[in-house]
Amino acid sequence: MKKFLIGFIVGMTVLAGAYFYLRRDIRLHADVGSFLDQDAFFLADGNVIYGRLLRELDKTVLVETKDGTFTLDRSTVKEIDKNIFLRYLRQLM
Amino acid sequence: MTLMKPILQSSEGKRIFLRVPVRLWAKAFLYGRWALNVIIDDLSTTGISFFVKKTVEVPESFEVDFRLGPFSRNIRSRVLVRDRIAASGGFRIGCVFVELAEKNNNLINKFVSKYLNLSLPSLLVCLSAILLTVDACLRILAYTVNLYYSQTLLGKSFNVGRIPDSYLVFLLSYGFFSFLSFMLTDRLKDDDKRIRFMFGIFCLFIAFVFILNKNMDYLKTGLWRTNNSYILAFLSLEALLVIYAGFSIWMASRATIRISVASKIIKQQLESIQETPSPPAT
Repeated sequence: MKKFLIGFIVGMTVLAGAYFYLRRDIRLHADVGSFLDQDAFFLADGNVIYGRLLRELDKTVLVETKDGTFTLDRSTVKEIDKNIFLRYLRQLM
Repeated sequence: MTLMKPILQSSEGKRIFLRVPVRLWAKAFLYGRWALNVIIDDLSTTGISFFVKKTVEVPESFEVDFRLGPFSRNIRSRVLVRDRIAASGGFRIGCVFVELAEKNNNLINKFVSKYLNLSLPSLLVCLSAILLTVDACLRILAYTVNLYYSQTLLGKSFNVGRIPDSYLVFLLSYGFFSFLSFMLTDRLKDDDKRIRFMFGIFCLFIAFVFILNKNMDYLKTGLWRTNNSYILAFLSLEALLVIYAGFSIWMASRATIRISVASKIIKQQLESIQETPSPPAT
């Protein structure tokens, strides 16, 4: 039983490592980095937008998401949580 | 063999009935009338032994009535005194059961077997060790991802809780001790494996301290106050892992005491058999 479990863990680790290494071409590394780099924009109406904060001005906020770049009115944004996933990752690690 | 049999075979072919150390109140009856209160010191599937003062006279045969636990039913049986060993201030009386009802015999068998059943703590510890190893692997993976991220140009404008370099040493130690515990907490077969098993529990304890400390950090940093359901689910699983690991260490620690006691008894009984001269062949 122990040999089976050890084999399973080692096998899964090797597979995950090989996958991460071989999929360099599809920018997996950059995707992981971008995912961790995301900021969360909590809007006043209760919705949450995940993207990257490009510029923060007095009255507007420039946001980049996977759907494109757009400007949010500062009054509609209740709170901005910067690098939310990276912070969770570091806190949980 | 994780479930130690209550009846063992010695090298000479003699049967050894494993005695379990207990402390049970019993009433002794003579001719159907209460005669004496005794405390049973050890119990086997075939008999009991107890201590009496020098002034107390114990007949060759009498009835005993005792319970194996507060919620157990009364066991009543006639016993025959087999030996009276002088001890300080009295005698240790060894008796064998005669006319023991089958249901009572089964109850005693179950009690002795349960006392020596080490398969459950062994399994608990092993599972706990593998779960901690998986947890350590996930943390090391997260550390690697974080390390990779730190090398990119992303997120340079925000400093979100940097991880000290020394943390990797703690993380690797956690993984090492969890894995070592998993390898060492094999099934308990005999006394020789006890030391190995105990060292395995010690390694598990070190890993447990790490995970406990991490969970305390989660509480201190207010991570539990998050609205993210995935994070809450993860924290709940971590908390359960801590409880489970603690419970398994406690169970296993108790089991090592039991295996120690059982091994000692077997050794003593084997020695006593070897010392006893065998009857001349006719």
